[in-house]
Amino acid sequence: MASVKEPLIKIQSLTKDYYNKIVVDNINLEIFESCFAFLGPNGAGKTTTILMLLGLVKPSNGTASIFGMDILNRSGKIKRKIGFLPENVGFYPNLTGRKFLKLITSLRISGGRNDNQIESYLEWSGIKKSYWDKDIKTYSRGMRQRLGLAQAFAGEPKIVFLDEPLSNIDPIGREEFIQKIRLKREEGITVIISSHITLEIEQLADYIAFIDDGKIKASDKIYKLAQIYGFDEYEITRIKYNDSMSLKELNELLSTEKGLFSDLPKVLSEKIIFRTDNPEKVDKIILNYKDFNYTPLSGTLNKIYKKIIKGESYEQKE
Amino acid sequence: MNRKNKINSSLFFEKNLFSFYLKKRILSIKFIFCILFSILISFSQSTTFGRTISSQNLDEYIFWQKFLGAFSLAIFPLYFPIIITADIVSGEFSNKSAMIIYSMESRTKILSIKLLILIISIFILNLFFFLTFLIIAFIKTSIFVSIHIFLIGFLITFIEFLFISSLTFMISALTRNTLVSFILPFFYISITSFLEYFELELLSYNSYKMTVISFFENFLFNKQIIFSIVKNISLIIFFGLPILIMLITFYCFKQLDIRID
Repeated sequence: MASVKEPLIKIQSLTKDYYNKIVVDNINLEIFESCFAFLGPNGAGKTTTILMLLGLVKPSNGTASIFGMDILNRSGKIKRKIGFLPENVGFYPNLTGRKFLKLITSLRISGGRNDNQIESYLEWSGIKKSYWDKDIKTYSRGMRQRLGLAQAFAGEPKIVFLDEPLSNIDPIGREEFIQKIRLKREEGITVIISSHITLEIEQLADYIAFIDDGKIKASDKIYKLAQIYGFDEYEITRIKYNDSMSLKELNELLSTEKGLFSDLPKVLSEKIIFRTDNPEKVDKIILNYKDFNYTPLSGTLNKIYKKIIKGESYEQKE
Repeated sequence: MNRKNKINSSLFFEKNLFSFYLKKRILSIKFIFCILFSILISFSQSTTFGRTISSQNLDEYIFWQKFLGAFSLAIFPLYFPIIITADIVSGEFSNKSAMIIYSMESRTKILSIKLLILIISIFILNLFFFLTFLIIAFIKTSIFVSIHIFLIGFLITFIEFLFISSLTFMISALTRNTLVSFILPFFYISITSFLEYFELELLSYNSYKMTVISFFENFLFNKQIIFSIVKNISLIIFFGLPILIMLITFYCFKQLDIRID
């Protein structure tokens, strides 16, 4: 993803304690236009950090700004540019899905009560049409989660915070939403995800901050983290079919760069797997081809997670 | 161009939230239930009019002493504001919709909108209560209660309703628990007579109200304005306490962390 010079979110020494127990400990971060993920175990401080950025929880110390404005003095104008899906998402049970989205869009954009727009959000959510005009109390947990995702992206927000977004969604739905969130990211929406599921983060995030015991343990671009923690296997996966370029052609293009691949890449039907010591260079090339997704080899993030959070050494185990 | 500016203003978004909350409250079953019961209570009180009616004894004897006096002694109507208010803030925490709403609008704005809706609801409730009396009084006597006497009676009852509502509103906002918001004000109203019995009138809002009623009674029917320290303090507490409770609620709610785990 292309990054702009000024960070959208700037966090400085952000700290939160509850009854003398430090939950978030002196966090410093800069988040640019991208898909950014907070990854860490339960109780690591991910949700608290997000809630502080949203102004729902007051920091004990430190400060943060969104669009250059302090989180505690944000105007309604800035608040309306932010979407949020909480971990325990809840709705007004006697409203229909359509009416709820109508309410959210009308609070976020002027003239947001356009019926076609509401229907496009409902369609995007994947909720069956027969449920659009039914009360939310009749929805299953998965359907509520889908509605929660739809409301987070409804009304043209610029930044969307998603706290454990895919937790109640079935595996096929998860794949579908990963694709949908990617598309939103391409539309220029900055997505900030909190999760402890490495597999979904691996497919979505450009930047990752590993968080444990309220502290940021590591934070960087996903491929850079792989490089730092000694992993050199990467994959390029086809996610769309808009461009005419095939995987084979892309592989040929990359191969023209001298010494980019450490050994011969494997070109499979949907992906290229390769080793490289220069992942940044690959990123720069791949940036121009939106049909492809460039990540460390599937499962690498889980290994990095274990190394950082659990302190496990994979060299010794393997 | 004008319309564009209008919908781009912050007021446009607040208007949407206001109309949403207003519809939700006014069309709720509990509000309709309260209105119907207040009409019934007013109706039952109005049917005990005396036979010899003149405009003087309609004002003083029937309206002021019988209707307002019976209302001042009855506890039952005071439960209506609790029923209407208890879930006004806490309801969004029990259905977990608070996280989404409070991330989009400032807490002060949301509380202000809710407070305005609460005042409107209480006003409507009181209006039905008094209008029923007015209509029945007219049917039975063919005369109306004097407007200034009617308005002062209305104001006293409205302020008392508002006090109970503000107390419930504060508990609802600060505990974010609907059950507690029901029980605590309910308990307070129920022990009021005990507080007076054990000479703890300072803690009873009802005792301030009785002083205010007697102050206005003197003013309306004896044309006397008698000020004393007790009356002054009672007037200040009677009218000022609901405002003070609201200000405390706004301040404390701003300091709270909004999270549902």
